[in-house]
Amino acid sequence: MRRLADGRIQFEGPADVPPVALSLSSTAFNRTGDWRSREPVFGDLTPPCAAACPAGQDVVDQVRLLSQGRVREAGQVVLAANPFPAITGRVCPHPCTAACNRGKMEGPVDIPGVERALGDLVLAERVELPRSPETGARVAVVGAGPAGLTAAHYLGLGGCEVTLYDRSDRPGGLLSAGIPPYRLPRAVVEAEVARALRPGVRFAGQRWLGRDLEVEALSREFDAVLLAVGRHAPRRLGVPGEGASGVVDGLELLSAREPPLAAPARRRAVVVGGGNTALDCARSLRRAGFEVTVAYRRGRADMPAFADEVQEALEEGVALEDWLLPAEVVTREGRASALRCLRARPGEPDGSGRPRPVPVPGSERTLDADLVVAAAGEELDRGGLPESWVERGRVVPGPAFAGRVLAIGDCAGAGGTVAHAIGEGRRAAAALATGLGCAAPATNLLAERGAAPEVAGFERVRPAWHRPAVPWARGREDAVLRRQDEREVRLGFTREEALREASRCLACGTCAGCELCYQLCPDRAVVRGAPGAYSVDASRCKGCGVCVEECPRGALALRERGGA
Amino acid sequence: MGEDRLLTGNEAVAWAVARAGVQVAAAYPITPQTSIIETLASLVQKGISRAEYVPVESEHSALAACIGAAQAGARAFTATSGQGLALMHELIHWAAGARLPVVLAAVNRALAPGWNIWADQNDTLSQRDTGWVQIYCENAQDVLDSTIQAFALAPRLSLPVMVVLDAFFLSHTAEPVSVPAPEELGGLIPTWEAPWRIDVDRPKAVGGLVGPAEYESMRAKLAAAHQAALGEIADLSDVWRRRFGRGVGLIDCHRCEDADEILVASGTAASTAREAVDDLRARGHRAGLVRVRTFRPFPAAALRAVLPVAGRVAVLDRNCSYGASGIFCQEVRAALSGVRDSPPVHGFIAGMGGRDVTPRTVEAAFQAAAVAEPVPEGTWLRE
Repeated sequence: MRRLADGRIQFEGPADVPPVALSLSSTAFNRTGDWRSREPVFGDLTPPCAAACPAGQDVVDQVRLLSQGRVREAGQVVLAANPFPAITGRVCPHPCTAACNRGKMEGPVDIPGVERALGDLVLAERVELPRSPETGARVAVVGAGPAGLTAAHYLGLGGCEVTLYDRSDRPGGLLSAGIPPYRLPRAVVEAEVARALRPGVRFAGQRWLGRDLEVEALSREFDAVLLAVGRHAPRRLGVPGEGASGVVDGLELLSAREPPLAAPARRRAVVVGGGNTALDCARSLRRAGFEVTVAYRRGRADMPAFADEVQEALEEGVALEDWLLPAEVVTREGRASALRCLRARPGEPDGSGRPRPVPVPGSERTLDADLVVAAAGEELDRGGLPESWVERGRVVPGPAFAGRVLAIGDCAGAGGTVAHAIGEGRRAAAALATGLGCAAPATNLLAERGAAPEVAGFERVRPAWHRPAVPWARGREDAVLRRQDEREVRLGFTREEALREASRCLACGTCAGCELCYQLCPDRAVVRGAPGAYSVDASRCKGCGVCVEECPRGALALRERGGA
Repeated sequence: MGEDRLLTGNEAVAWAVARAGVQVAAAYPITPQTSIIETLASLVQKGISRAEYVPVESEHSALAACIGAAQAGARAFTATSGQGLALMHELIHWAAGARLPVVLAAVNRALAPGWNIWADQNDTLSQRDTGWVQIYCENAQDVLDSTIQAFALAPRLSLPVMVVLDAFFLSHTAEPVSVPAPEELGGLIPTWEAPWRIDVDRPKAVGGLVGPAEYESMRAKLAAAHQAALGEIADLSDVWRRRFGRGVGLIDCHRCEDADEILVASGTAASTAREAVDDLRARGHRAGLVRVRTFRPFPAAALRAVLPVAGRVAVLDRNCSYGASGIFCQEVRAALSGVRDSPPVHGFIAGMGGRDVTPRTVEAAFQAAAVAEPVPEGTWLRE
């Protein structure tokens, strides 16, 4: 066989013909892409976990990097949105897990467990984000709870000089004063708060708005002021006898440095409320040796407390009585001796969608109590705030201060979890930083790495391509043992367990560089790149859609061919 | 050393596939083939075979998968029966035309309608003209040896090989079988290195358009490969006899040297005929038997060397080419055509759809051939 100069093939007789049809020349000239009417578009979507995260974390990226053992990089991803992963890994109710697409397969990824392990590793390995050069801009942040801390941290990182004021002599707000150590160990709070303050934040404690500070003066002294004073004024029970000795406020009880051990001999407590504060009070009192009953005015399913916490309280021997309305604190010699209640029945739904409790006349129930804890919610403490700045219980700075004074977090009516406060704090920092000439933190991490806002729901996932993997249950400390001290109730992952659990992440809507599109393309039209940087060779792609149909994570879509 | 095992014909296929070091198996379930793949799966589970199984949605896809694997140089295997083989037909042609060393175990099964899962050779004989080597087995040992030999032959010749066994009489009946140890097969099964093997380091396109002259050349080469296969099969059977002390190549002759009358048969019917011939010999008849083991390439020269000593030849077919005669009968007649003083060839059709072929059936064929002139369309023997 000879190949002539003009491309012709010449055989020297029939014996020279090969046994099968064979071409050794390239078929690259064959522009099969001219056939296409549609073409694939490579592009990440927003994973449902990230869409659900009130803090706006890039959950998939942090979990993926951890699954590969890349702790420092995973730490940088999480710290870009959340300065407190070891805290949120413990106390956030994690709406991300409820949204996890793996939940429709073998069970959702234990994102809190993974985040907690990552947060602890990041502390141990001292991962921190670099601070931008100082700009001279000065910002005051009032309130060192999660919202104020987050804002102060990102403003400090961006080059501001931040003064962080708080009533307490230590920073942390509810993190240290409102969440008991068996849910959130003090050492974890102290370590993460210390790291958050390191880039240019000066903490000034025992400074009260209205007593030591005044907003208008602050706004003159600083380039900007952030109000993050939270909500911690106790909501009164509003019943006779509530001024008696032995009636205490829930947050006060939790923030006391020492548990109330000086209790009378009978040691019975009734906690009024159904939120996390009520449950935390009940559990702390249980640890101090009290018999505890939680009295809640609606049904158990209506309780605002996290379901896990209700479960743990019951395990620890807390009694729960629902549909009870406090009517009177019964006193003896000026001390509380019982809480008289009326039974309630569910009425019409209120604004929250839950049934309004309607008292049942003549249905009394009296609970013996040496200690009555009012933990039925908190209100804004208006102390030191201009009268006109409070609208419907929320702080709204006056128009003359627009852009210079912002209110964030619980006092501004944010969603109520630590993650919401973190999200608010970071967005406020971003809004201020740009105007102050400082580097701004990311407001939308997903958009910054090119992910579209469309959420990659379960219909975009191809379960058959994912190796089945059951969740690794973390469990809790034994209920009897944990009642005896303040050990952490929920167990954590070891590093290896966290990596394994992280590897269950489907990376919904996120190119993981799995190569399936490249391998399955009948025309070899997929051009490989780094994960997320794949593309299609339009001159070859016939628009068959195999890559789109088979992408295990929905990081590909088909569109009509554009142009001529 | 090898070991003796009690194996059905289907299990013997699976053991042979394992011993041959198959890398890719793709098949679709159909009775009576299914237990081949099931046994192979259990051999993979036990670590005796390292074959990768490709799940497919039809027999057409099963052979397509094997064709792809073989084209890339993998040792590929599939198995089927009856309707499944019919569904593969297009790709049966492709495998041979592309000169790929695929091995297929075909468990003979009658074609529908009416539905019938019993032994009948019309399914494999319908694939007669596709360019595949076809070997018809007599017993489970023959099945095992033939399957291993198929993997030895296919890459030497760049031809696909079909190993054929009767439904149930062979596929589901257990016999003692000597299974060679892997080291006893050393050097027998070569790696396929044809220039048209696809290879990422040497890009090429296969199966493209060719003109009439080139096509004719390619097909002439396919025919020539079959002629070469006659010698390869005979050589391989010599190797087998030296290594294992058993086996035949193209044909198997029993008491033919001084025979007046010779019966030609294939598959398990030949086993029955062997007993019948011994019986007739004991009663003074000079009967003989030729078993055709290799049907494609057809061993015309070997038959020409044996059959003319007899006064007459009877061919027993478990198949029928409707409108002509039994298919082996046609082939024997064609092989003897032009041979001076060649004996008359009588055709008999028996055992279709799984009917038993008994010693009495064989005797009836000998008796009928002794008293009547041969008829072109053959005679149906039905008890």
